[in-house]
Order: sequence, then structure tokens, then C-alpha cells
Amino acid sequence: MKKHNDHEREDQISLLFNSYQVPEINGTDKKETIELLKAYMPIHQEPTIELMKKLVWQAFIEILSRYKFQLLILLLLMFMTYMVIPENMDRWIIFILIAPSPLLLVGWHVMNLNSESMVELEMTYKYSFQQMIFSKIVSISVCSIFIYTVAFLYMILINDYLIATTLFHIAVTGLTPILLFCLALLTLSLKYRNLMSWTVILLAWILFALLSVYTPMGTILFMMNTSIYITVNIILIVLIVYRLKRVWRMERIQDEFN
Amino acid sequence: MREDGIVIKAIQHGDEEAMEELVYRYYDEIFYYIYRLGSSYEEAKDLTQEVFIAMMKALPKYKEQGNFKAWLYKIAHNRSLNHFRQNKKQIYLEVDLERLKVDVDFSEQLTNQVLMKELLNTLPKMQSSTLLLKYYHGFTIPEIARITGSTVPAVKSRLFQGLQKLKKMVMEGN
Amino acid sequence: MSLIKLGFMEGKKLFSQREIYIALFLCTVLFVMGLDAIGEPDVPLLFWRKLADVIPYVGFWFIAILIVVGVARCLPFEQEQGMSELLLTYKKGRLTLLVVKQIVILMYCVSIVLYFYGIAVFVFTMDYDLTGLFAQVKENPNLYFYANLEWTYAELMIYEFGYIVLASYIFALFIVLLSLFIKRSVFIMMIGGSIFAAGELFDKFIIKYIGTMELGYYLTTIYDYMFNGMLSFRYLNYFGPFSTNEVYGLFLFIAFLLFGMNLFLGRWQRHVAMGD
Repeated sequence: MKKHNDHEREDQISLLFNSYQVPEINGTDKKETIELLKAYMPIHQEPTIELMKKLVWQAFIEILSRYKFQLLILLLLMFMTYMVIPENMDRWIIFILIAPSPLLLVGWHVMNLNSESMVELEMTYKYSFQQMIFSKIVSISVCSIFIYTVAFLYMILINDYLIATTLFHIAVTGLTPILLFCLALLTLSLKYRNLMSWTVILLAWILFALLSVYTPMGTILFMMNTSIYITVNIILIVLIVYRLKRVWRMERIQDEFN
Repeated sequence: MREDGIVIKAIQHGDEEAMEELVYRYYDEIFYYIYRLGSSYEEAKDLTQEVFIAMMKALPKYKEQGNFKAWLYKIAHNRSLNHFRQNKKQIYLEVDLERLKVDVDFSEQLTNQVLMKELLNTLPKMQSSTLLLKYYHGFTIPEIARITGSTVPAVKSRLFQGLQKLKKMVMEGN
Repeated sequence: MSLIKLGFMEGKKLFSQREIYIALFLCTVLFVMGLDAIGEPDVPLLFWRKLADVIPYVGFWFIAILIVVGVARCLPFEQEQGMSELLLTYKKGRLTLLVVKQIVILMYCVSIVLYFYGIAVFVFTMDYDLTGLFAQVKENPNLYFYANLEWTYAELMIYEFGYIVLASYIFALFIVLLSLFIKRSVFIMMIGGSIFAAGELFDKFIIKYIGTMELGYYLTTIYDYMFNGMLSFRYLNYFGPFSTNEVYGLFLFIAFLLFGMNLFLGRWQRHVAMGD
């Protein structure tokens, strides 16, 4: 009897569901929605890696064309310094100290993107302001590392007595200031984009350079174990990649559903 | 008919016709889901529009893996529930429980769609949405769990309890 | 608004610059690293000798940089904030404002000097014995600069504190002078910093290559008697022409001269701006 009742009730529920009449949808409603959605049509975006490569290359060309004379003078000065400094430990300390100079120079340009007119100008470009900063910082960092590598090879040629372990130590040590400035530039360009702050960093680096050469501090730092520099460099690289990812994602639409 | 994945790719590349195709494909379903959840015609129309706008905004980052329909329902579900949460008072006022207890033939009442709507409205929203997704939109239990953001056991329990309540109401009606 | 309140407001403006704190952080780290690097085994009175030497040796670099960073924005502040008209129409006159600004800068110099002495005391206390403040300088006379050997270390420190405050104030007033002509604070900072850094680069490196040339001699003289020389105690050179008292008198004179010049030029600029 109970089973029979259950069956009946289920039939009634089915009937209940089937009986739910819904109103007819007005055809114009759909058309209205379609018209509205046209404003939200996505603009075709290239794959991220391709876009990154393209932007970094563009930024590199822009920096080269805008700072060709300054960079040329800087390069000449750097190589002249390598030739002039006497053959002792100072030579390597100075070599390392001037390694991040291209970054310091172009950091100026990145930091100068703070005025409203500049922001507006960058905003009218096809790509976002954050993407422009990303590409500029990446391109100048790669450029700095490239210049450092060339200078390093040049130094090896003129100092043929150096052994491989020392060379490795110098190569690793010289990367530290470049990575450090890259991180500083990224952090400041996101949080406190201001030429004054970059000038302060520049002055502090000059101070550090003076201290390193004039006091035993430079020698002490230079003589530190290579593994310490490797660790510091790895930490810096991780922080830079993390920051770069954040810069790149900044302009992305927040996805509330995934 | 093109597959969802192909249509979505086309939209991501800026194809307006593909967008139209997708709207025609899912508009009715989404509209009725929202409507059956307890909205008026106008509300359902506005919410459906909102769902499609949200879809378009999120589409550039969306990667189709064969579950677009469920994803779209998830948007609709979230939007509708948010809307009901914000307009809770109004909805409760519209529900006239007394009308369910009138002493006339219940089968006559069943033919009245307004009463059916009110019947579903007496259930908690998560239960009614689970029932709707199962019986009107043909989703499986794991799919419902994804759409409503809950677990499979929770969906099963909601289905059971929802049905029990409905049965009870039918009994009371008889 | 009373002058004290005006001074307080100006002080607040100066000390609220974020760049000062970035510079202060970086300089403190570098200063402590530098102090650690020049450490040596303890002997009696070494604490006081080290403390007396620390500013003429490397400490003046830090003081100079913080002065450049802090003072560069002092005058262009109103202009960069779009309040230059307010400045020109200030009811007590631009002159009063300039006087107050320059007094506030003096306070800033005192604070910076005290701060670096504070750090040096803190670092040296950990390494050396503190006793001997009232011992005579001649008991450990290898100082970096000329001082009266009959003085106690207490007298020497008081003299040195006054000297470096005056020297840094002169440098700060020079930065103010620059800012009367240069409108953007970042350029003032760059020019001020470059003048100082160029002097140091010359003295520490370039002189090694041109020291034997006649040009080297002239440039060294310029270095000794310009801001770098003032800040690095070159006026108290063992073979210098000035006695300790004369240096004080001379510095006071230069400071007053620059103070007055800034007021005069500042007032003159007001007339130009107002079209008088």
C-alpha cells in the first residue's frame, strides 16, 4: 500500500515538474542582448610569450634610439675605465661596480614615466602601461647582462693569468648588482615611481662605490664565498620573476569564476 | 552545428557572428533557469543579460575544456543567487504560502504555473536550484556540484531533501 | 601664523619627504658596513679616536648625501605642489619664509650629524672600550686632522660637532642657492650630488693619475677649500693656513654670507615673479 502511495506521489511530482509553464521569450530581448554584447567583444590577443618577446624587442629598439649617444658614451667610459685602472684587486671591484651603469641610466627613463601626460601618452599605445614598464625593464636588464658579458670576455682577454675559479667568482659577483638594481627598479616603478627616488638610489650606489674602493669594505665583500653570491643571485632572480609576473598580470581582467 | 570550443575560439578572435550563435544557443536555457529560480520576466531578462556580459568579460582568459555550458550556468547561478540575496525581502513577500493550502483540487493548482513557482520558492535556493538543474536542464550530479560550488554528497542530499519536501507538499495538498 | 608655528610647519614638510628615509636606510646600512670594515683590535682610547676620525674619514659622505637629498626639495616644494602663488602672496613675505626655511635646514643638519654620531657610537661601543672621554688627545694623537693636542677628547668632540654642523650647513645653504635658480628638485639633487661626487672621485682616484701635473695641484687646492674639503676637515690640515678658532670664524662668516645671499636673491626673484 505504502509502495503504491510512493509511486503515486512520484508521478504527481513528475506532473508537477512537467506542468511548469514558462513564458515565451520575446525575440527582441535576444537581439538587444546581442547588440549590447558587441561592445564587449574581445580584441584578439597574441599568445603571452609572443607578445612579451615582441614588446621587449620594441622596448629595446626604443631605448637604443632614444639613448644611443648616452649609451655609447657610457660604453666608451666603461671600457676606458677597464683599460686605465691598475692591475690589482681594485680593477675587479671597479669592474663589478660599474656593471649596472646601463640599468642606472635607463632606470631614469622608466622612473620618468610618472607625470600624467606621460601616463596618458603610454595609455594611448596599443599595449598597457604596465606592459610597457615590464618590457623596458626586461630589455635593459638583458642589455646590461649582455654588456657585462662582453666586458667580462674583454677582461679575460687582457688578463690571461686568471684561473677558472676566480673567473667564475667574478662572473657571479658581477651579476649581483645588476640583479639588485633590476629588482629595485621593478619595486620602485610599481610602488613609488619618482625620479627623486631613483636619484637617491644612484647617490647611494656612488657612496657604496666610494666605500668599496676607499675602505677595505670592497675587498671584504669581493672575497666572500662564491656560494653566498650564488644564493643571493638565486633569491634575487626568484624575486624578480615574481615581481615581473605581477607587473604583467596587473592589467588582466579579474576572473571571478575560475 | 559548431562545437562550443570552436565558437568560443572564434569569439576570442573577435568574430561577432560566433557570439550571436552562442547567444542564440544558450539564451533560452539561461533565461528559464533564472526565471524558474524565482525571478519575474523582467528580472530574468536583466540577469540573463548580465550573465552574458560577465561571460564576455571573462572569455579572453577562458580555456575551453568541454565544460563551457556548466561554466556559463555557474555564472548564471552565482549572479542569480547574489541577486536574490540582495532582494531577499522582496522575494519572500511575493511568496504566498497560504495559497498552497486552499482546500480545492490540488491537480488544478498544479496546472497553475504561478503556484508551481511559489512551490519552488518555498524551498531554500540551493535546493530549488539543484532540482532545476537536475530535472529541467539535465545536468549530472557532479556537474551540479561544480555549478553550485558544492560537493557531490551535498548535491545528493539537497536533491533528496528537496524532493521529500515537494512530496510532503503534494501530500498536504491531497 | 607665528614664526614658531611656521617653523614647525616647514620642519614637518622637510622631514616628511619619503626620499630622506630611503636615503637614510641605505646610508645607515652602508655606514654600518663601512664601520665594520675599518675595525681594528682594541687599544686604550681607540673608541674616542675612532669616533673623532669617523666623520672626516668616510662619515662626511653620508652627511653630504643626506643633505643633498633633504634640502634639494626644500625650496621647489611649493612650486612642485602647485602652490607657488601662495608663496608669493604669503602675508609675512617671502623673506620671512626663506629665513624660517634656512633655520629649519640648520635643524636638519644638526639632526643628521647627531644621527651619524649616534650610529658610530652604537657600533663602536660593541667593539671598543668607552673610557677616556676626559683623557687628553695627545695620549693617542694619530688623528686624521689637526687638533689641539692639549684638548681632552670631550673638548675635541664638541669642537668637531660644531665644525661638521657648520660645514654641512654651508653645503646645505649652497644647495638652497642652487634651488633659487633651478626649479626642479631632481636637477638640484643631481647637480648638488654631482658636484660633491666629482670632488670625491677626483680626490680618491683621478688624483692618482694626474697628481704630478700642475693641473693636479690646482684641482687639489680647489678640492681642499671647497665643500668637500670643508666636510672632510681639510681646513684643519696639519700644514693648513688656519688655526682651529680661525676655521670656526671663517665658517661662520661663509654661512652668514650664504644665508644673506640666499635672502637677497630670493627677494629679488620675488620682485621678478611679481613683475615689480
